[in-house]
Amino acid sequence: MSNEIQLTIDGKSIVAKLGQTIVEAARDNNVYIPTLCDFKNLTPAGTCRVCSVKVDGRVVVACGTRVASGMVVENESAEMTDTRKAIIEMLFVEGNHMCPTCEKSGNCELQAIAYHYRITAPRFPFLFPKKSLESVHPLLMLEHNRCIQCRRCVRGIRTKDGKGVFAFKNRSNNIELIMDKSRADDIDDELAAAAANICPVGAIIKKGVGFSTPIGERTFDKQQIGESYGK
Amino acid sequence: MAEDLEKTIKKVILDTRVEREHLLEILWSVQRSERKIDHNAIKLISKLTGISTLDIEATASFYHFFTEEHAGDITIHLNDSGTSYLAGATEVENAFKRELGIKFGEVTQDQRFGLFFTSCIGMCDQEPAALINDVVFTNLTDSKIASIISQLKSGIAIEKIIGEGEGNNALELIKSEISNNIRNSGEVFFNDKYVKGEALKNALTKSGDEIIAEVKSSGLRGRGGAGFSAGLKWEFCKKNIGDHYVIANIDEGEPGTFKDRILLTQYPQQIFEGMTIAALAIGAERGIIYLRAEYKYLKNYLENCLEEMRKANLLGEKIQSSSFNFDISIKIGAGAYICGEESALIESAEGKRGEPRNRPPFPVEKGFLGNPTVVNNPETFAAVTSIFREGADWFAALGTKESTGTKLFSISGDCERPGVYEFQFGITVEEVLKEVGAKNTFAIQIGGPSGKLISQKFFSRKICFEDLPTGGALTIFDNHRDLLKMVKLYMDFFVEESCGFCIPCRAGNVLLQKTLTKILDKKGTKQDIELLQECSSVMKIASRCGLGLSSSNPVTSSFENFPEIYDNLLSKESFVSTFDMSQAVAESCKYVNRENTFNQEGSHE
Repeated sequence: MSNEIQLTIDGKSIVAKLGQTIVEAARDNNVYIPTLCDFKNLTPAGTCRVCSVKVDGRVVVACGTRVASGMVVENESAEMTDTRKAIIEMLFVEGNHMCPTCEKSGNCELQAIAYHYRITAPRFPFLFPKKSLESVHPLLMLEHNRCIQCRRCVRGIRTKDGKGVFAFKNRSNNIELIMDKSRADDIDDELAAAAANICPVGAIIKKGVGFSTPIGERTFDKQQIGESYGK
Repeated sequence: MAEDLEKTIKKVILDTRVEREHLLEILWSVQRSERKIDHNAIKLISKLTGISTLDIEATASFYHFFTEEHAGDITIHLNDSGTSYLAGATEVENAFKRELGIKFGEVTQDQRFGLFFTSCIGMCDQEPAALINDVVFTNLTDSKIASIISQLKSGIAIEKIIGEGEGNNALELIKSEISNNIRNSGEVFFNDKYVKGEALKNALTKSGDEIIAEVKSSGLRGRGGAGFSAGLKWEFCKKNIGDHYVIANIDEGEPGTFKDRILLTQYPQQIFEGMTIAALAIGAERGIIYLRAEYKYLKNYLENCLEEMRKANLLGEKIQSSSFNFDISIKIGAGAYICGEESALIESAEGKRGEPRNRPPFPVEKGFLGNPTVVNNPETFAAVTSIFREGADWFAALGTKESTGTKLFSISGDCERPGVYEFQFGITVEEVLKEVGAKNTFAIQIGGPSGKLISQKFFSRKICFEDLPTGGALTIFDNHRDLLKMVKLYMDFFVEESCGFCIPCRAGNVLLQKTLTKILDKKGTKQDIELLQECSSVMKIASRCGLGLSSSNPVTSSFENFPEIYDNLLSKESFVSTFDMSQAVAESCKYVNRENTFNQEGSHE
């Protein structure tokens, strides 16, 4: 039995491997489905909902839904695009995102996705939550104003003995990123860089290297997010 | 002090063995003895259990009843839900503040009293109600609070100040001042036909598949609200391989719902027996009662009921001399509405943050500790007991075709006889209103905040899954109530209770709450209505679990059925400034010791 199946995304027929998620299948087939909380080799979390697609009439997250034979996926329809934009706008208004002064500007996936969708101003009012900037480690800062609670750091950053470093405390709109300070010694330069890199926004900042790549020469300055797809 | 704490923790560890699933129990022991769970306590728990401090902090901070700061030797939690305000919670709130000289969210300087709000505690038929160190106080008034606080201040034990309860509430093992308010009798629950063990003995003569077939033919649907076929759920679970579990979801947290409390107080054996039948059907050896922290006053009583059932050989090893082993243990929550969602409940029962899981896999495939698990409402289990006593055909003949049997209703708000009723499915809203003595009814919140706010045009509709579905909560509002204020209170509730995992729910509830506040302040415009609608629609399609998918219902259903409550408050202007100059400079005026000379409109006086 072949483990290849067929499905359609926005009417385009694609071939996927059984067991793949919709996001993985789309990627293999050069179809862009925007994601934020999804990250290679990590278990899907489904916190950001940015990859929401319509499958057979129901809205699901593409990062957490496995492909099935004959599946009909709606990705860039007017309705799903608008829903996705609204979700991205929610991510902006629930935090305090000041792109011009952010170390991550140009490397920030949230900013890049907002550009991708040509979002100029959110439809929702800014909530202006009171959040702090926290120095948690000789090498790291947590800028809570920018955290989108995607949990990539929670899932992806582990010490050499396999222990987690990041978690979330509290709940609802008070939810906040925390770092295990008792494991400070286990965080070396390499792990600190990995933590800053896994963060899609500028919430985990490695000290001393914020502007080592000048603005204008950063990832999304050269190529828009998702641009490499569909060519 | 630290040694005492170590002893306290060790005792729990010894009682329960150190397994991750007991973390909540350990945290409770610390909160109870220290009145807080601070960083030192977390470090100690970590040292004794091997669970990382990171993990413990993440878990403890998720639950409302665990506090980082000292919560007072006597911790008062006043219910601030909608029904509480209908019954006069504002007066009660002021009385507490006056008697203690502190605001809500504060602790007295000597740390004797802490004053806090909490979400619905399941006493909607006897509000205003509060928890004082886990003891429930009902029907609070200004003078009652004055008396309670003065007695507490003079050192009288909390247990000694409560009044006498009704029914089993008066038992030594419960000793609460709560009333059952069972208002009628019924075919399935509210009668004295139950004979301990009769149903189980019937079930023991059948195979697992036969039991499931019988439950399916009775047409029994889950009583939590969603109405999924109980038999089908069991069948799915049985098919999966692993150590099967049966869990009763007693995290009854939907504001306006309290019927499980009455079942637990008067008919717990019927719940336990139903769980045992489920275990027999799917091949489980372990059952769990997940009890919300607000109902902790019932724990000793329930433990005793379980012990009696063990003595009668209805639980334990070789039940009724068969080869079937099954036992039930009780786990206590710590204040989180979301744990009523079955996968969040399982996470919490495993001693973790009560965040819903991604599905699939469903709990029937991978539930408690990764094993196939049936989670049902206690009312569902109690109905199973009746089915195995009277027969599936008897049950199927009650109610309607798609919604068989009877349903327990929690009725509160503006009516003469609030309490719990047993009605057959198919009863009309009108008939219910007549039974409960509701007059001049203007609106009903059906199914709690996550249900719908319905108007008179729905009153002839039938309550059942094929027409108006509900988990059984009806909060009644007569024509002098401010409905929009109720809607806003419901949104306050969801803002407090969202787990915060996904963005539509985490930000959406806050956006709805803020916009409603703006409209109630008469600063809303047509644009704000559009905002409410857009926000709700994103939440309804893109949220991760039932909470976010339904928490905008109070807004959307009130807008659909009562547009005038919005229209009346909207400004005729297309733009109203929400910026208030006098408010903006208030803080700096305070610091520089200057009088605030801006008026509300923002111009100098």
